[in-house]
Amino acid sequence: MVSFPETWRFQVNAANGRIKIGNDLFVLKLLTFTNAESEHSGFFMILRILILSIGWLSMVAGLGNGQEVNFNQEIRPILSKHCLACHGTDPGQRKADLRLDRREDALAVIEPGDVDASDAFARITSNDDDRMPPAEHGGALSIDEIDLIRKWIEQGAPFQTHWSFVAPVKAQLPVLNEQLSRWTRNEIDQFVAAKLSQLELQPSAEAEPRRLIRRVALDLTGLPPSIEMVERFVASPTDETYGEIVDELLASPGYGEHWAAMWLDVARYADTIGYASDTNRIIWPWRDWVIDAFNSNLPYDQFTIEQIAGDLLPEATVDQILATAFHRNTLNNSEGGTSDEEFRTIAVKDRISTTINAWMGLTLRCAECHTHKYDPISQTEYYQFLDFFNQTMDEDKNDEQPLLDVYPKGREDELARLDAQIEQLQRELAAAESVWKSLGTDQNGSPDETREKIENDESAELTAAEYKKKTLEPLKTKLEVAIKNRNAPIRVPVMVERTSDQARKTHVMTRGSYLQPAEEVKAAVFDAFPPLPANAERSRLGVARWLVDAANPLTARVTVNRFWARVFGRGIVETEEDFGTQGSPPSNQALLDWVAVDFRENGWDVKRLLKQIVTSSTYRQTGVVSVERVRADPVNAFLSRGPRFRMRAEVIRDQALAVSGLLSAKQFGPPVYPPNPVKSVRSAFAGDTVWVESQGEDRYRRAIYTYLKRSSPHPLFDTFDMATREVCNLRRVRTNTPLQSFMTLNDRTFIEAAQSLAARMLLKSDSSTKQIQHGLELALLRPGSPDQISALEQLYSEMRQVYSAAPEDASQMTDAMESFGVDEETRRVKSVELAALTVVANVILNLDAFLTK
Amino acid sequence: MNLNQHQESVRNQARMMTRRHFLSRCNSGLGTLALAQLAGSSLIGDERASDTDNPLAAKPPTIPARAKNVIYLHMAGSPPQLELFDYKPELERRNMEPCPDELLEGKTFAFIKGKPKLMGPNYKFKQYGESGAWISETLPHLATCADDICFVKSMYTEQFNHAPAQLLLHTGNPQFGGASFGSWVTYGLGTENSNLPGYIVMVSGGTNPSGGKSLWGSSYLPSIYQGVQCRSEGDPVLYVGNPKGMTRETRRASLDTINTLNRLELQEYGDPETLTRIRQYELAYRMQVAVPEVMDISRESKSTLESYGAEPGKASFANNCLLARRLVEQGVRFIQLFDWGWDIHGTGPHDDLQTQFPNKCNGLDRPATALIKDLKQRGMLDDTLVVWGGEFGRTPMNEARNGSKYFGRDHHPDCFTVWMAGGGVKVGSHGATDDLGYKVAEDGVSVRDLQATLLHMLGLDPYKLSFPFQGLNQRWIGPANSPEVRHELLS
Repeated sequence: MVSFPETWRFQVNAANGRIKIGNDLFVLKLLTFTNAESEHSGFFMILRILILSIGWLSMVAGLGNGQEVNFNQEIRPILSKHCLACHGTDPGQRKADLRLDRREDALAVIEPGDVDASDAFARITSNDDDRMPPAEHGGALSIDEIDLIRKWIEQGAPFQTHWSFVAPVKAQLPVLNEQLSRWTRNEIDQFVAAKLSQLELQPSAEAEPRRLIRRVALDLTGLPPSIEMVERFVASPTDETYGEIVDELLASPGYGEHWAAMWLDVARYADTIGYASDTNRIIWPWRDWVIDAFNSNLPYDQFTIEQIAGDLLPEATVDQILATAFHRNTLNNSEGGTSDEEFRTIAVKDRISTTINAWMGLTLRCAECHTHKYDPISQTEYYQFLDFFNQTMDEDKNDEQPLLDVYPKGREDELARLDAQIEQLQRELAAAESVWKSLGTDQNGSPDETREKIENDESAELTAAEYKKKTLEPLKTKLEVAIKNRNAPIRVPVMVERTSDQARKTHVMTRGSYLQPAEEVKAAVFDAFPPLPANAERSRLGVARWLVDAANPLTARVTVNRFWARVFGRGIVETEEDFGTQGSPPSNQALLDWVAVDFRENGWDVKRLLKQIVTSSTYRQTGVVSVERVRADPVNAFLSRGPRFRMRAEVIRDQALAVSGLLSAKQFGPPVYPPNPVKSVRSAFAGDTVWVESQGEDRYRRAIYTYLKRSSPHPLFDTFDMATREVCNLRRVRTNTPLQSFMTLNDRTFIEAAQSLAARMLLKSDSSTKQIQHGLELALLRPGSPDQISALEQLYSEMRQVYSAAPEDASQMTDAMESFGVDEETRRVKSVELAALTVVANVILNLDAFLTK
Repeated sequence: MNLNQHQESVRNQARMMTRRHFLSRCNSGLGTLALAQLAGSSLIGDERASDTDNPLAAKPPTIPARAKNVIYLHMAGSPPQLELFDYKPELERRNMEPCPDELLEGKTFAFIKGKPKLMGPNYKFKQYGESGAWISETLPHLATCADDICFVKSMYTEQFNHAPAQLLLHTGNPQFGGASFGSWVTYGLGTENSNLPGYIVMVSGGTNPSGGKSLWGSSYLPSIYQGVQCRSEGDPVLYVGNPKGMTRETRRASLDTINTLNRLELQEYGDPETLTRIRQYELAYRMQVAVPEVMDISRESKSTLESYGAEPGKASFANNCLLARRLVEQGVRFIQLFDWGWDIHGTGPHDDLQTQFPNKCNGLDRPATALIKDLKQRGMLDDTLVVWGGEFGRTPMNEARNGSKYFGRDHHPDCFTVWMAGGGVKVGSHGATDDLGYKVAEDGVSVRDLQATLLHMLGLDPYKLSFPFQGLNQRWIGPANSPEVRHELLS
């Protein structure tokens, strides 16, 4: 008797309701098992009838129903999940000397076209101990999975290369019905519409104009639009006006700051070196290079080449060498007793992981210790690739050598201060010289016995020589130092290649340990991908060219997917960081590939790509969620509605400062210190780092300029999902937590923003209704609804009562008002109104509609 | 349903749960929509998700559990086991003899250079309790708890620098990028008290541990699972206090208005995330009361304060131990303490065995003892696993860096002692080092074995507790299946 396997019973149970027509043969086979079973519970009887009827239905519908199984979409995920850990690319882990990742090897256990003759199929459907995969590896395949394998074998067991390892091509634009055609504005829409039509979904209506302009401004610049911009579009809501506005946003300086912030996650940028001491690192000129690169729309291929290997370009400019600081954002361990070679090696490994992850969306770290189990990267290849990056001069030294001298912009304030100091010293020196001369002595400073009283210094009776020694010379030295400081360059860690006679030998490291070198290897790229382009240098520069070569199947896809995900909240490939065989499949590959190829063919033009995205009808849809849409597409993977989600950390803060009129437009320069409740951090072995709050405009700079200490970032960042800046991070996982509410409700910056917004409201009008209307409009860029206004008016009048009775509270609630354009007199007379309006403004700055784009 | 499937579904839990919540409460007509149709199949039949509103909601363990909560006492810098628990008479006998060459061959130390001298224990040892545990005179109070403690004397690690060793221990990866113990536990088990964070971290000794905040980070796990640091100065949790000039009543009125406007937004837009936001603001309001209340140790009796040596308003390990008990009592799942100052190199009086070390022992002895006794007396020790240890061990040789006249020991990954109490551990000593305390001689327990065992005790299968990220099912115990649950440590 054949017994019904326990696991199947469970899976049938789990599969209840999702058994599809098309489970024909296998279902019948299953029935044989069930029929032979002696215990007939009522449940299983019913189940059997259900399965039987489905089986019959599909028999009627036609055996096998002719649907071709897609290896990449349907079979590879099964192999990858259940089989490849032991039967994959890694010889060290391979069991039974069987590989299932290549067809020629898999044919040992698969007979194309004949399920019954395929050992593999017998093993996955076995009830005995030899069932594959074994229990400790997750247990049996599900019914659906087994059925797919069966069909695939029947169809000849064809293999395909993993989708993302095949270079993308532009598919023919889909043909749409007239209604959908009318909806489309560009090619993106055509691919999206085709997908929606397959799924029997309709696109959503266009977003309301004010909300659309707010959304597009926040998406492109991380800042709200001006009211003027909104009104311009409301007055003339045409594609032409919209296009002009998009161009203006792309040309605004805020654009580069916004997108650079994204790149800093990729580059694991911070203002400290990491590890235990986590001391200061001056690398902000590179951050400004990134902002400039985005603003000047440096083509992405050039952006790539300069950051990876700008130092190796012929006649490299200072800026091109500065770009290579990208890979000097690796950690440096200055703790006593640590091996520099160990941490140099870790940094080099991090560089190759980051490079391959950021540009090609693949993860390398597995291959550091053993051949990658899932993706076609062997351990030897890992170290061959590492050899390219193993040739730079940096060695985890405490001084971070090699350094590049730069004279960056953004230091105007600091330089002005130094200039003033120099001027002051020069004046003092001139005065001192005249005093010295007035002593009427030997200019050579030889001893002179006459002593004279020096003006303003009753006690000092000095000889000219003494005066020269005690006053004149120290002043001169001070001035020299000041001038030297004034003209000193900023020294930034960069990549510098060792000369060829000093080239390092690279070895495979046994289990990844630098102390256990195995065979020596020479630089090479991975076999599974196209070779280095013809004439490409065998160096980092060659690698950079290889990344952006037209033959590279991944870089363009990974890049457009990343920009896409920032705008839509989710990538076409959801796992932005993993385009390998374990990553999620694209929700619309034709769309991704078309946009990727188009991006590359048009000169890797990022602004053009973003414009293409935000001018599409797909983007311009409303974010309103309806029952049908949520049911059909819960996470909006297929884009039947517009994007609507809580914005990233930087934007949350910058937007609050912008609408309250506090945001500084100052760009570039050394990092700044906005209010932070964590006043000092004592790191192991490095003493205290004290957070001295910036004053004036530096308090309100964009978040990208906030000093970032790796071991203790400003709470804004980790509260709002920024991963630590220790390793490359391609995607922040969005959360919604009470600690976030604490921050926007109570953080000093947000309170100052509320006070400043309240000041703007008060100065607008004498009518509280108008004040509230003004506040809402400043924040949300649209007039408040009567319900919104009346709720806020009610709060306002309550608060007036509260604060009339508590003048001390009112004064505390308005403590910084005088910095926000409210004169002392007004603050005193209107302190109750101002306090009440501050509470109202605090509410406005915490609205879901405000925190969400 | 197998655990991996569950975890894959939890990956988007924050998003998913908002949708469910939306359905159950939404008044815009969407609420009638069947849950199953919305949430997709992954959450259907997930009987473990008892309160789907909240990704931190308590979940039952997946295998039988011995402990429900964890209090982890990490002695940052790594205390010298040879002065505390690992008594070596032979080493005492050979005090200041040159270290045998065979021990030095092919070895690299962080600071020791040339030919160091062996150094016997600097303090006297005695045996205590029925188990006969060896404990030195530096910990007289703890000695009275000898029969509540499981001493693992045969721990070893792979790392001999502080940050990588701490990262390996707490995040399962010597390099940055792993998720910490507490985040794995709250991810796997949620927490009992939704008005408090599920995973709380407190630091004493005035300095952060070398591994920094990553030691309590969530890495690839959603950031809701990261440790929340409670502080002794300013707000106990950042921003928990209202701004100056705003009373709790004012805050209530302002939150009511926020919620009213957010409901209007919800009606217009129907975005489930809006409903979650309303809920998170309400939770924040409750936390504003719950956090300061639980952090206020002045509510404890005088005798309790005395037994711990705790003083309200001060930052100390003693206060943190007492807080740990209060937090566990309130249903906080995981409390992580770091105490700085155990890096006893002997380069000066600030880090030597004669001055700094006894100071540190004084600061440890009473509070740790009081914690065990207090938990026991309240009947909480059975459910609460207390773990104590550093990130590695210290050498049996005197470091004598640059000819220092002070006594101290260098970093040593090859053996060290960790102890555990409560939570179903087996009382007594486990494993042994060789006569010189240089290497593990019997029943070595790797850091990864310890990790597997700790998860097992909490009712989480260490091999199955995973999260898909970068093409791999990431696990706390690492990618290899070699770590073992050490059943001999369990009662």
